Amino acid sequence: MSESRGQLSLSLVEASVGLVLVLAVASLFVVTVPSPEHETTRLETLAADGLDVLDSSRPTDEGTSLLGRATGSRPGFVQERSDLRERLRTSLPPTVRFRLETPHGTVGWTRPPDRPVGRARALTNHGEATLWVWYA
Amino acid sequence: MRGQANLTAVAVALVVLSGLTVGTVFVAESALIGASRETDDSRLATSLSNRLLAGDAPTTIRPGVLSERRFTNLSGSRVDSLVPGVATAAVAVRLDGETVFQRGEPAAGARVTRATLLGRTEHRTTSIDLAELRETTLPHRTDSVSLDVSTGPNTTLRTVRMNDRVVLHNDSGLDGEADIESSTRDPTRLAFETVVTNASSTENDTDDAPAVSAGPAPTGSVVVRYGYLVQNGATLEVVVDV
Repeated sequence: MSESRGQLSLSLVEASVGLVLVLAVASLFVVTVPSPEHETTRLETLAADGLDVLDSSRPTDEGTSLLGRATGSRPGFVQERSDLRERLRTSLPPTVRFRLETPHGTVGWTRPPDRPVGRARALTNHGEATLWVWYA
Repeated sequence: MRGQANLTAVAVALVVLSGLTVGTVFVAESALIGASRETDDSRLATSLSNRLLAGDAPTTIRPGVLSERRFTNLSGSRVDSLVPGVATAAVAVRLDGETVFQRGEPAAGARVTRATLLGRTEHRTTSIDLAELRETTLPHRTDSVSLDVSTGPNTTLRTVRMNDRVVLHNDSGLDGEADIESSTRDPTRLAFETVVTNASSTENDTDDAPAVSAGPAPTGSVVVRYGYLVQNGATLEVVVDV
């Protein structure tokens, strides 16, 4: 064997491998990816809030809630449509869009296919309402 | 010459590796502490938002409806009593983007956003002239009505009915102030049954014919005061940084 052959120092190789391993472990702790699950949970809470808001709101000339009127009959839904939209728009954050579906009609935007969407359902005496919310 | 490990190279490699490992443990520890603080932030912010919106909270009129008067006067001691864990944290509570309460700088903390209603009580006063009217339906639903009765010398107000139910009755005549509970389930209809004493005769209306009376009209007035709830949608934001 000749001394002038360029041999790779074994300890350099070992140190490099060790370095790479330790750096890989360190990077796991440094890089944090926001979990899409958190966002969906937040949206689900907002959707449930939205339905609660509609259930706590009373049109001035009726004893039932806004939600009850919207799910009760078609004429009731049509009459309350703009109030439903206004109530949801003012109580939900401005960055959030919504869609409310009742047996007698729908209010809001079409659901986006590519984003986390939170959903809540409410069952009233008159029917079921579903509210979807997402960040615009 | 055999390919032996160079001692200097080994020593240097060992030092570098040890240093890197210690550094990594340090990074890992602060990342874990940061993560647990984030969980604490998130938990406290969620708790505080739930407590602010609860039905039995001092800040609400009903579950999910914040009282405008009480909520806009939110104080640190109130916040701390709702969730004792935030006493040492930076907190901000905002409604529709405006800060209602802030302590410290919680910008780096966890934020919870809720949809809610903000309610306030509006008051109305209306005066009923008993010579003209003996029945009225209030234009707003309310759960309490205040009456101030002053009858003329020839008139006795015997009964007050609310939605066909007798709420006040006095055979010798009602006078002065009274508070009556009503319900927002139905519109409130008030009916006043009066008896007019003629100077020349003691003929009286019976209580069965409240609306129409022959002879002179009753005199006097009833001042009706009531409060009704006005609600608007609002976005609540709670930020906590421990």
